Amino acid sequence: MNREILKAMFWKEWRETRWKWLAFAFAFHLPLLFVGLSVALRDEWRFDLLAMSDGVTAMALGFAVVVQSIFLITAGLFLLAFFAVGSVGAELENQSIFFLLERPVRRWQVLLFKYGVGAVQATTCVGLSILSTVTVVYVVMAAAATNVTLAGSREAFSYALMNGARGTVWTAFIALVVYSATFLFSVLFEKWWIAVIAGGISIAGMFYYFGAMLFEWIINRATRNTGDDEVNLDLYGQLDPVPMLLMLAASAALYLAAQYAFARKEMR
Amino acid sequence: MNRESEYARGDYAVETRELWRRFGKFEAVRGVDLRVLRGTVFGLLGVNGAGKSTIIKMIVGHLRPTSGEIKVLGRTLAEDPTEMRERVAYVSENRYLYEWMTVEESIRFTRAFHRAWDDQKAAELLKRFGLPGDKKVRQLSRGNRARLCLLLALSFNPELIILDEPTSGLDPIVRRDFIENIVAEISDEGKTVLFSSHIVDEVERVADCVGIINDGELLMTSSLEEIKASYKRVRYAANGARPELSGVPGVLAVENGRHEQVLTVRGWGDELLGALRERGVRDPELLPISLEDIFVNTVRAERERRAAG
Repeated sequence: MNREILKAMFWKEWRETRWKWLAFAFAFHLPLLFVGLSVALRDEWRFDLLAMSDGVTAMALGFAVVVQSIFLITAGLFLLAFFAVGSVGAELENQSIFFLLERPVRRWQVLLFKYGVGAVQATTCVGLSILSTVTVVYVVMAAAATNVTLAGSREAFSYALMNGARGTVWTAFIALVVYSATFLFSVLFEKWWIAVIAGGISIAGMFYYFGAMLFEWIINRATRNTGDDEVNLDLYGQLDPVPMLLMLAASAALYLAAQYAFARKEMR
Repeated sequence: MNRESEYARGDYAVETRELWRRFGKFEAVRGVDLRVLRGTVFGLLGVNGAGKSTIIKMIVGHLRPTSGEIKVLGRTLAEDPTEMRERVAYVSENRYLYEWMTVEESIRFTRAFHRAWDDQKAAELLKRFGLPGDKKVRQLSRGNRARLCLLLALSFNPELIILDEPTSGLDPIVRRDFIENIVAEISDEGKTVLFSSHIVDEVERVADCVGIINDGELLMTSSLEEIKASYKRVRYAANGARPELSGVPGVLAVENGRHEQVLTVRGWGDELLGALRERGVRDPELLPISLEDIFVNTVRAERERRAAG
């Protein structure tokens, strides 16, 4: 595949998915929107921003990370399934993929390109949402609360930002596994809604059978042990390569399975 | 070099041997041996559902044969599919295009894939076809979509152009225009064209060679001249008792008039003439025969043969 082809394919993917990317990036910030609207519209939810201290900033940022993570690991995964299905399933369903398959490129190259672009879109939508949430919460607090100063809360923000950055890595890996699984389904089933249902059932099944154990394991790996009994908001305190490598291996296996299925797929 | 010797030499753009394709228990293609000589226009003629598209999809690699062998431009598709797609253009009945692209974007996008893309030719065809460059594909009429597909297929100078029901869904004027464009394009460039259609006069107008397919089986394949030389319509007076012609080899169809009978026969010659005379046919007169007569009667005879046996 030469540079011209790469450029053309990238242009096509970008033109086809740019609005979807934007829509999903927006959708992955829904908790922020809900919290913002609740605070703005309900008197009893409103807190005194003027009285907030720097110490509260750290707590609020920690909460933001946890809430956003809970959203990502539940509803976010289903959103992701929708996202992944569109990257190849839509082209299979409306058969526009024939246009590419009639060009002098190999099938595996077409699929690799679609997987690559989709994976980058999915992981950035999911992963960066933690960082952007932390940033938005901090900027709002710093701007609105007189007791929270940029100088005084910078340390808390940096700390939350570092956790957020590690959280980006963690969620990007989790997103990659879910994306890869749904990508495989979208290659196996030509109807996008069957792929979404299959993806949804898999995610629900994963929650049902492995949920508590798996997520506890990942959260334990991602959370620095503070040794006290309080609610630990220090999520993503550390990066552990073992689960990440396992998730990477699972993603690679799912991607290879998709390649295998696509190579044998007949275009009727 | 005449066509018979070319066949003997085996200089084929497309060659299939004992090609079978089953979908579950349904046999869509049954033992097809298709040979398309280089530099010719080959029309694959058959009714809807006869198996034309299945054969073509196997040739271009979208479907895998259940058994049999396919060679395109002397090589199997598995040998080098990308090289093959540089040399073979395929326009399908469904005219796959990206709806959101404009005509110019479609051309630019396709151009990136083909080393042999000819900008001048693309510009000429764009002008000749009168395609609006700034219009989105989804806004194009069926005729213009077909023309755009043809433009994209011809602009990278393929050696072999495969068209699967290219005029399907087009009105007669656009259809004729489309066929004339193909003829204009290929007449002096020595390209090979394999196209399928169920419209007989379309095939008759363009094809050098014809294959008739029915229920997945290739009933006959030959040059149009040879077919017309071999198939005849024979008329003779038939007042009163009519000759019993069942069992006469080569008689495909018998049409009864009030005072005459008209036969469609295959393999016209002294032997058949003798057999007809033995059955009481007197003073037979040869009538002009169209490809449609040949097609309809060949398919009908095959169906009757199957029903009988």
